[in-house]
Amino acid sequence: MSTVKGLRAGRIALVLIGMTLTAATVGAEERFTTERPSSVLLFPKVVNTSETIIEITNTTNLLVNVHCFYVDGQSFGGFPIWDITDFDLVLTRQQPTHWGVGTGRAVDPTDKETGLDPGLIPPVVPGFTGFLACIEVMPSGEPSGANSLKGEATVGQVTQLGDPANHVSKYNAIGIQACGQGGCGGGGTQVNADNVLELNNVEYAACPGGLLVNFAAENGEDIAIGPANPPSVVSTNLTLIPCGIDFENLNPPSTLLAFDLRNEFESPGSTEGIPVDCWFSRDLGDPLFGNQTTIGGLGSFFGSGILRPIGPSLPVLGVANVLHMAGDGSSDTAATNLHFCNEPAAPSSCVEVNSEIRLPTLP
Amino acid sequence: MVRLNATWGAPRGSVLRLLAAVALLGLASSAAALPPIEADSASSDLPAGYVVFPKIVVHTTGSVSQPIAAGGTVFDTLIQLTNTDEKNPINVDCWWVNANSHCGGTQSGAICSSNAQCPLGQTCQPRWAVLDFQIRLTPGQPIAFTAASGLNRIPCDTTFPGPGCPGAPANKASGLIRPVPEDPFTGELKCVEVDDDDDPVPANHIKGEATIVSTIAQPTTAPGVTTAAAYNGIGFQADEAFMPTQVPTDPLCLGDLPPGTPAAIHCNQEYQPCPGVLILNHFFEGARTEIGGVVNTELVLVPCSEDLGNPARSAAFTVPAEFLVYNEFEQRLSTRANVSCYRSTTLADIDTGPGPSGDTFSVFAVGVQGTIAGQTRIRGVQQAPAGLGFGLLGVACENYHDGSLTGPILSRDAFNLHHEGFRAEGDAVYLSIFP
Repeated sequence: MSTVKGLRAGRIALVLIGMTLTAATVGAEERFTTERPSSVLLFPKVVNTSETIIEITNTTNLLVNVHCFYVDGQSFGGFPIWDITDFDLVLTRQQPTHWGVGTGRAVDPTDKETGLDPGLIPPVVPGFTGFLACIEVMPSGEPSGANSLKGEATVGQVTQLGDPANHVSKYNAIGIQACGQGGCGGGGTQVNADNVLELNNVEYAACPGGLLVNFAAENGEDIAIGPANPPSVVSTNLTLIPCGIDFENLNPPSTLLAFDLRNEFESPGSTEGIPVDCWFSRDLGDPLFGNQTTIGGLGSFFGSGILRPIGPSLPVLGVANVLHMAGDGSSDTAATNLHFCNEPAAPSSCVEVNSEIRLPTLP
Repeated sequence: MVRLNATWGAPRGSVLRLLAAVALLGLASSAAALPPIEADSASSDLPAGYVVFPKIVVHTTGSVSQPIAAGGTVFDTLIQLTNTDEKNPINVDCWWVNANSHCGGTQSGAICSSNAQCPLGQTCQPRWAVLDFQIRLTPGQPIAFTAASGLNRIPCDTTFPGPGCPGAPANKASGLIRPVPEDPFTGELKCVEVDDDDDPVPANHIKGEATIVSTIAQPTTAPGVTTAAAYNGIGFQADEAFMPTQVPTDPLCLGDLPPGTPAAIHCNQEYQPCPGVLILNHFFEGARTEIGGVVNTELVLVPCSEDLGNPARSAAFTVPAEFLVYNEFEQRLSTRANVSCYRSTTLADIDTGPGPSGDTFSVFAVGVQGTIAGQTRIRGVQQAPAGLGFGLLGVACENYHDGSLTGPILSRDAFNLHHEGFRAEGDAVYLSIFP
């Protein structure tokens, strides 16, 4: 195939294109993103309790290698399992691919998954709840900073009319852009060959200082559904992962958060010491939120808050998945990516934090 | 409409010629002066000064012209807006952009979506109009409202029932949120952070989300189906260092002023430019995925440029959009379609016309592409009238059907499109009458 024939020329093109983009995008913001091609993709919510479909696309005209890690976020006895399964993908130019995490994807041109199989993708275990990290790498395995990848996750299942479990929600993967000489997102010329991805605005973008969360009061009425199908109720699930991972030493990251919030009457509230060990997935009615986000505790139907790390802790990344239930018992979920808070001045105080993703050392 | 044959990649000679071109381009771009804009474009994951919600849908039991009876499907859109400035109140001007079509193209004609819904001799024609409102949000204040109902008072307005707010009445919210002008309604919501004189300000404190919900109007014995699909408002960050060199006359400049803008026009405020390319990852129409059901995708595209003060100009404004469609074999097809003011369409209808007829022959059909998932790259093509750019914005919604694409929808989701690059030519949003 011509894509394969052009690989050698492609490497030269990568250098030239990198130079071109660097010149053209001086001043680009250094940032995490949910809508720009990036060099690292994080899918915070991947479950096999229903189904999750992962979509990843190479947005460039060059062949891209990707190394991915499933991280099992379940805990037993208060300790994270932190089981990691890794696999490799190869995406040809502009190639999209997908797989269901419950089934994985074999390299089998004759199976029902048509298209170029990107590599052997293992299924996750039944009941898996955790996250997926995918890193753009060179063919030899070292990190690559070409910012080629985008991705989405679709979570849920549908069966038949009338099944109350018909829920589907979708979110964009969180991208970490590699930095070029003029800033992050330019061309990734600052990425070195070692196994530590420095999230420091030099090699890759630094972690955002906080997350902005708009939410409906837990167990409050859904004001859009309610008039036609009362009584309605709304419930928000937050899935969070620490912004920093150590795959080499298998150290589950943990952090402590503060959630400063306001209701519609500008009445402030705060919950301190929310622990995030490896993987966090809780409804806003969970006692960890101190009853301040429930319809009884918030004091209004809607609120807004900032999730920040406490002291030297790591910030978090995440998505919100909101359950909307109508009076007749039918319901659906809707996911949104959380906004990043990058305003360092008080009272927002979202100061970017340097962190790292440590990959297993190459043999 | 243009379709290209599938290609498996360019021959090596072409690659080398491409390398030479890239090298020349690199030299040229290094030598040329950079555009006087930030090298970044609109984003849906940061607070901003100008925020666009491209898809707002309303159809309720309270519709005057077409009320939903018990057992029918009701639609409404929940908007959540927050002032992320925790120190200061902000003023926000918003516009509902009404993209409804009417029989005969007049306001008095019935709201319609196809000619078949109109009396004999009349056609269903787009009728573009806007309705604005102004609100003031207190520091850090979140609010939410449905598009069908709006809010006749803002929490923290001294007349709003409730516990009151700190610092009131000096630190009070004010204004009202008008409901959408028609029910049923299809269109957009656009909001700009402004000062007390309604002039845009160089600040970025608006964030928001939209959730489109549908449910079955009660009472009924029909099986319940409730769906919810949410996306983030698309924000354009204002250049906080922008200082107009001359007396500004009107437009919000998304990047630079578009080519052909009269010399008398000067930017009122500069914002990030529109994306150069929109990237949509999707399942092909009619695909059966691991989730279950049969899926199709609705795409909403709106122009970045708009003349909110001159509906006739905006109604006549068309941006040709080019779609490059890749399947999982790296094969590429392409098609083109016009985006006039507002386009909400299933992917299959982009190249086969409205309705299910011909959908299985679309370049977006799973049977045509032969794979489940695809990538579509979308960009506006230059054909806009002078003074308005040809950038595009959009969001996507997926519908999961029972059994086949003609079966009932069991669940929906929505997501923001990815962006790549930015439009150096610029786009403009006029708030008052274009001179």
